[in-house]
Amino acid sequence: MEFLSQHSEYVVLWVVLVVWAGVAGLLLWVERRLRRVERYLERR
Amino acid sequence: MKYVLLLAGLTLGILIAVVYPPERARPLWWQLVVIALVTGVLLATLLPPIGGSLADAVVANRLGQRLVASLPLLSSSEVQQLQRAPASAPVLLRCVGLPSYDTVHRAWRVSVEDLSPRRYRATALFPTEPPPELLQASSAVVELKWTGSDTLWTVQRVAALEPWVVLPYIPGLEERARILYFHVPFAWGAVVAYAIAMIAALQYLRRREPKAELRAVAAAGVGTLFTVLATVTGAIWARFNWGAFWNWDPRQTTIVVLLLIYLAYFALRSSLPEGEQRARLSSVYLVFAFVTVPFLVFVLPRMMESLHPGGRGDATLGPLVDPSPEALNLVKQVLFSGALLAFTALFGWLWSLAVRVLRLSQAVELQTEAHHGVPEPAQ
Repeated sequence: MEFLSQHSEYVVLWVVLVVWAGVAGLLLWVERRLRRVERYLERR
Repeated sequence: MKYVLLLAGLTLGILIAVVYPPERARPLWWQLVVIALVTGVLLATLLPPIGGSLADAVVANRLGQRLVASLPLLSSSEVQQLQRAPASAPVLLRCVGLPSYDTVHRAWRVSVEDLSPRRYRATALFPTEPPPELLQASSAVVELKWTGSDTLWTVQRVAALEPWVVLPYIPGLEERARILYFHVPFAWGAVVAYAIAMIAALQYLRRREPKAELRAVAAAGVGTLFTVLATVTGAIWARFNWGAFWNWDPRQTTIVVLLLIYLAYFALRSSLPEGEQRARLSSVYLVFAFVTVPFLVFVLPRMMESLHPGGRGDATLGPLVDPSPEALNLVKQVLFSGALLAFTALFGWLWSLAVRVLRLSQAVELQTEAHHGVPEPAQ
């Protein structure tokens, strides 16, 4: 607990960065999948 | 200057968001630019230390005594206990003298000068011999604790030596000020999203293009997501500033009303059968819904007594839009404008994704109907 309270600003930073990395990864993945489906529908 | 920066951040963010029509897939470089912008804002607002002047530390000490008494969830004994504890504040300073041992305080005395334009001077007491790196540093953020005199401070810890960037110290907010760079851009981003939804709804009502209605639905959806994020970040801040996540403060109440207005829009839209009538009615609703947004976000919370910065009881307009010289800080304003830019650009990406998903689901429905025929209505 002492470590967490001493480094609380960096804990927040890491948590926020990990969450943002997850969100950004998800957005890139959705973008890719969406483009594939759009191309498939355009071909039909 | 402050308002030019705010406007520049917002305008550039909107330009990045709408540089491509939302129906078009954005190129990979555009997506990477948005990711880099948001990552940059996260690092620039969460990593640098916060440091103020000696005057800020004095104000914080006086303000701390007053604020503690106003926290709603503390018992009177907790309030007394906190008021007795001397406040500490991070100060950006440099040492201007050689250390000498003070036999009265049993500590090392060093003359220090803060780096504010007025260059206030005071004496810092170190419990152990001050490190030579600190004595030679041209700037350092040092946590100072009030001793009962405004010119004599006890050093708690050295937070940073020769920092590249130092975020301003806002008395009453301290470390909690970092949430400003997320909470306020989310709220402003929601206003931008609702404005775009209203414009798209008007376009639909003029030209009856289904494309415009989809743009309106998607923008309202992303706007609601941003409103939820502003509410959640605000509640986290309220927990540490006011003592509870939810206090039914005017600002919290108006954002709930705003959320209910837009949730009612989605309820209305989903309750009507698909077709021209649904698009027309929900577009009219969106136009009227936007009329409430400036009142609920900018006007009403400023007219009522509020704990939130910028309320009626607050002499300032809040730390970000207050025009007084004390509230001016270039680092704060540049970071805030950067955050506005990054989160508005992120809105553009989410808006585009939402529009394309809605278009796809419509196309899939049309194809399914073409293959299987329109289902018979239930008898």
